[in-house]
Amino acid sequence: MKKDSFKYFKRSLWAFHINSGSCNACDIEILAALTPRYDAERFGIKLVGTPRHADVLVITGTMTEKIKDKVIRVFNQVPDPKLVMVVGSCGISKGVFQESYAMAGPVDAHIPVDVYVPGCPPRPEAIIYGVARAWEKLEMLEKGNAAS
Amino acid sequence: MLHPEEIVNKLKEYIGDGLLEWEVRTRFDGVTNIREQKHLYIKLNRGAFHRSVAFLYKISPLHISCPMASIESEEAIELIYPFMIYSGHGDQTEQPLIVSYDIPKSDLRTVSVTDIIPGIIIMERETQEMLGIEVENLPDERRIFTPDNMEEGFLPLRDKVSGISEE
Amino acid sequence: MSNKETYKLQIGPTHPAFKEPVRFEFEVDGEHVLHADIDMGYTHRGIEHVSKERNFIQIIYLLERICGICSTSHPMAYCLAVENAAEIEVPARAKYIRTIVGELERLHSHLLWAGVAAHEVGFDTLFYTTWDIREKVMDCLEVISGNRVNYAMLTIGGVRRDIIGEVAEAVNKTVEYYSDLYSQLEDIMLNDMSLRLRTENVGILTYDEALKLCAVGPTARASGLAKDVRADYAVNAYPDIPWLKAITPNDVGKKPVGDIYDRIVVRVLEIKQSVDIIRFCMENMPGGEIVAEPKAVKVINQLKKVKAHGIGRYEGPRGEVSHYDILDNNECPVGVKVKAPTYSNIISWVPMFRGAEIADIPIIMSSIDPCIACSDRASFVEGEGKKTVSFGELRKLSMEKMNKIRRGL
Repeated sequence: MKKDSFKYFKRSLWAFHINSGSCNACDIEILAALTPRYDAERFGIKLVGTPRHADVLVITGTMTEKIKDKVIRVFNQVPDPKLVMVVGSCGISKGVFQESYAMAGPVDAHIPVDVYVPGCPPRPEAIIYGVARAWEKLEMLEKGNAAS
Repeated sequence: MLHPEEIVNKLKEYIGDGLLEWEVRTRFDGVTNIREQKHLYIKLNRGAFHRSVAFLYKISPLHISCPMASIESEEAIELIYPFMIYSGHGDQTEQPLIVSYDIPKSDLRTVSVTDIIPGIIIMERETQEMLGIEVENLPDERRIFTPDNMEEGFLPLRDKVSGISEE
Repeated sequence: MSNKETYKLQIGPTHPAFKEPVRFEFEVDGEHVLHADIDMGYTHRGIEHVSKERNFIQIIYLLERICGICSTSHPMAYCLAVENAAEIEVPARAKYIRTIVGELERLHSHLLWAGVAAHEVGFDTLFYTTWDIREKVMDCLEVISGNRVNYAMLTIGGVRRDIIGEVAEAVNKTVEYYSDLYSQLEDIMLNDMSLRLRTENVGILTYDEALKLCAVGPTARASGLAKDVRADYAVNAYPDIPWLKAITPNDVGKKPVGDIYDRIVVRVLEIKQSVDIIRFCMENMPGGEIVAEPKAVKVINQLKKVKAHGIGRYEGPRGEVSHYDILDNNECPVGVKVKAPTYSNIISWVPMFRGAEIADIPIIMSSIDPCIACSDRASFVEGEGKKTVSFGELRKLSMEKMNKIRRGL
């Protein structure tokens, strides 16, 4: 991340994390990314407690039937401009749970996804890199808004 | 502490013909200090199940180790309860006591043992939901795991699963 | 108060973590919880059903993904169950390596829990400290297996990677690091006054309740119920360790009450126990093969000839993991039954919540270690109108209580 490349998106980036049927592996890696070793907060990236404060929605896990509605509801609560980031292989493609009856399909079958972070689970560095890419996209969106 | 054979003898005295088969299997583990672990397998009559559990619980409180497994055949479903007896004393006293009985497919019913072992309730709810075996006297009959929009009669752990589309 | 109207408080359902995520419905009278109801199944992935369509080796990696935190416990119980059914003898060295990996996992899980619990009572310094400490054991697991979280160490009949040379050195260094650090950690976790005030006599599960509700793991042991699969049911290298026993608060000369503080005591002592077990295993590890049959195809062919039942039990970080597998002359098992520790402990939540304050809900919830506590929001339903309280606000309540206690000191 080059410092001068962020002209338009001027605030810190806040993320809201929702679990849509994950096994917890991605969740602990997201938390690990926030704790002293990786310390994502030094970039201003922060996890918040409510979707209404968030810029990025971080989704872990496969989308199960029972939680589908709740995830869509949370997605609608995030204010624009918003981005969705899927962490982990099973949210991208259902992963190892292919034949299961309880799956509602990959996350992008239900809500638009902007950033994919593959891995089972991805390393904290990969998650931070994914958030940085989301930031770049937000920058572009804000730039578009400023121009119009 | 009773030996598996002694448990069987006592149970036989109590329920008589209700006890169909029994077997003791031993497993060994360890490298320098080999320790043996006896597993007692009991097969019961469906009608004798509740009484037997109440009787065994009096010998020592039973711990339910795993949700009920099932084997499906043409006419019946065999339900397997992996209990542990002499649990919670420390001192390597715990013994697996695996109780099973057949439920005919024409009459898929069994009786709840939550009045004896309150901790079994979630497992009985799971059995009712996943296998379609009606558990009588169950204090809470709601579904636990399967999605709310699943069609009636969807039983994921039966051999021929209905309601799953072939993709 | 003459008007005995109660409110319903909902928390969940996006509660991540274990096999059974939860939505709570509390009936509250003012600040006090009268009754708790639990609704599960939001991350139900139908693993038992999927496993009927996989072969014996593929299932190991499927079961590893039941839970990302105890990702060795489930494959361990499964492998033990299949080995029990097919009577496969595991080489001695593999038993020791299994024990070491399992104990490293327990170390990381308990440290993770300590952090999460500290976070729930508003003690964030401790949260960051323990998670920083935890990175060392994650590094060690990465050196052993190549991955931080899902290690894929186990296979039927043994393990897939050996602990030799540099890897063994890394394990020894980790053991030294944690034994040096332990007294400091114990001091913070057990003697901090504010932490004690928040956790003592909160969320009590009595001995009788624990016994009746079939509680497992540290939750049961904190109530004085000496239930530990490692000591009770001999697997791996555990029978070789002469001093191994179930840890209860009696070990620090305290009568078990079954409150949250006792659960902290048990887990902190288990960190020490795990370090000692790893040291014992590294010192006494025998030589030889690490797997009975390295070729997966041969293992599957061997298992195809078996018609038997197998039971596999293992003490995961959160309690007893138990599998019951049925083999029936097929290349996949006809039945795989899985029990995660939280499954047994969920019903124990009900007595713990009875009479608790709303501000104590997060810490009671995480006290049985359902992994990360992340319920997203709670809403108070008051008559017809609805008032929504975010989980952030709930945590704020928790923090305010902590500050009040600190001021009072």
